[in-house]
Amino acid sequence: MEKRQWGFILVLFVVLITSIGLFYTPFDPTQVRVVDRFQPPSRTHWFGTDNFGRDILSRILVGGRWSLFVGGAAVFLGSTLGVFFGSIAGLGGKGWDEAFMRIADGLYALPSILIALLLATIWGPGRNTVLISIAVGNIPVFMRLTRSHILKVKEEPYIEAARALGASEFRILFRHILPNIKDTLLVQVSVSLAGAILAEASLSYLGVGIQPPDPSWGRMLRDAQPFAHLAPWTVIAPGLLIAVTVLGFNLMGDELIERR
Amino acid sequence: MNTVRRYVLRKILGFFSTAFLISLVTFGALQVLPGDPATLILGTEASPEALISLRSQLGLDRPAIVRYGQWLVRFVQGDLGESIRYSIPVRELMGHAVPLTFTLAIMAVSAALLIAVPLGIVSATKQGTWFSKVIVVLSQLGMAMPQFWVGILFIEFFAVRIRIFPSGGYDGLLSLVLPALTLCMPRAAVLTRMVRAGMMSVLGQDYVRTARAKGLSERTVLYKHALANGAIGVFTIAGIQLTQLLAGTIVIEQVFGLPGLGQLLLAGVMQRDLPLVQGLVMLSGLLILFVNFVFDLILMLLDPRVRFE
Repeated sequence: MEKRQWGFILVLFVVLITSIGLFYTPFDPTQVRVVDRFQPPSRTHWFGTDNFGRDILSRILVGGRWSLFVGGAAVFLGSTLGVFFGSIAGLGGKGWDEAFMRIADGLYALPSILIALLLATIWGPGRNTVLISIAVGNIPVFMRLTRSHILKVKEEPYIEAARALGASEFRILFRHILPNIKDTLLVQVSVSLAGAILAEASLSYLGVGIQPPDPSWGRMLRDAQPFAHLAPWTVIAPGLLIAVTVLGFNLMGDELIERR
Repeated sequence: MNTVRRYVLRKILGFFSTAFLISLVTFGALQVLPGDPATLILGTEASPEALISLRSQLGLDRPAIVRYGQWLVRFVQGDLGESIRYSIPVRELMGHAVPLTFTLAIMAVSAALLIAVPLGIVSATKQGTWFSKVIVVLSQLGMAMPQFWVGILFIEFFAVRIRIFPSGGYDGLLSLVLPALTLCMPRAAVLTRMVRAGMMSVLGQDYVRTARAKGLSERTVLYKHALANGAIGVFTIAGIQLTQLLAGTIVIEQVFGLPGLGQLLLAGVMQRDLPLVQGLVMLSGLLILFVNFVFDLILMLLDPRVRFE
């Protein structure tokens, strides 16, 4: 089986269990039952219970929804803006190009996590802070991709021909240039999704991301870490799920790179 | 020489204009975005008098452009402002944190290179063998596993179960070994792939075939001809990896409870200590920019082609 298919299966698996979690969980994922705390994995609690006696499997099922949402929305926003600004830089002439690429350089020097910490100081921690930071962090990659492609094909005969026929810059961009880089952009989207999921998990682990009572895998690890020696099962499942999701998106992007 | 001078000049110009932009973002974010810093710090139940006095302490009663100018001038002079919570200069707070974070970062980069370069070369030269396949799988796993998870597992195994390393806190270089190992893993994974890809593309080149054809030993071909050129690509990537590493240290310091820059920054965020966060983010951005600048210059020396770009 090809790598891309493996990636697709892993992503599908995560989407599937997260969808199940929208409708069904074996236990109430937020219900505290002190008598059941630190139960090792068993027939009733497949993945055991945490320090509040909450069923870990149930929490795993509901813990991915915001990660996937935040990752997806952030990459969608970041890629759209990145392609838009990159197009202006590529088609707008030297002045625009210089200005926009400087901004891209500046953003490159501020990783998503740093932006998130800056924004969290003003807005407070939370889902939207993380979403916007990751979106902003993704803008420069898509800007550069779009711009460098445009500069490469700008003087190509088929673009010149379109221009000679009176096509507007807008039409050239949407009919001739963007369809051409669709595959490249899709690869980047997949790789960016992997990065976004990882960044969100890291921020939630740091306490800056998704806040309780909303569940998230990153936050589960934060809460479980003090008890890792007492109940190792509490730290296994959440990390594994993050890794599977990231691996899935990376593999999907990886294979597309080789197909190009 | 002229091209060299022009290249360096362009890079220096780029460095300063980008640094200026970062300062605008760092400072501007706190001005443009909704929310009154004084209320943020004191809470909504603070007395009006306290709010007014804090506003003037923060300089919020003056126009934003004046404040920006003052902040920038002070920053350039090495004065990062005063932390609101600790009431001491940000620079003093950083005194102990900077060496720790730097040591950690350097250990991690060295470890990443030590792991990645040999593995990359071997997996490129032994394509199709089980060894090469294992390395490809491992590098995928290394990129996918969240660092803080690996860190927690490392602590559990190496510090709690077999007690070789301390489980957290800072007490000499030994306590940086596990954090550095954790931090280097994703970087090593990416670099291995880069070395592998670089070597594979170089090994297909004509001059490598020529070197083999004239009877040079495989060793000479690999290390004198191929590696020298493959290294350029690796070097380009290593600069970017250092940037990522900085973001990684914030997470790793939290996992291992190390009192470095990341912990300081995180404390600032949690306590809404604006001057502290502002200073540290600006400094981190500058640092990343500077590292990339230095890498650009070294790359120019290694690969004369880039001067003409």
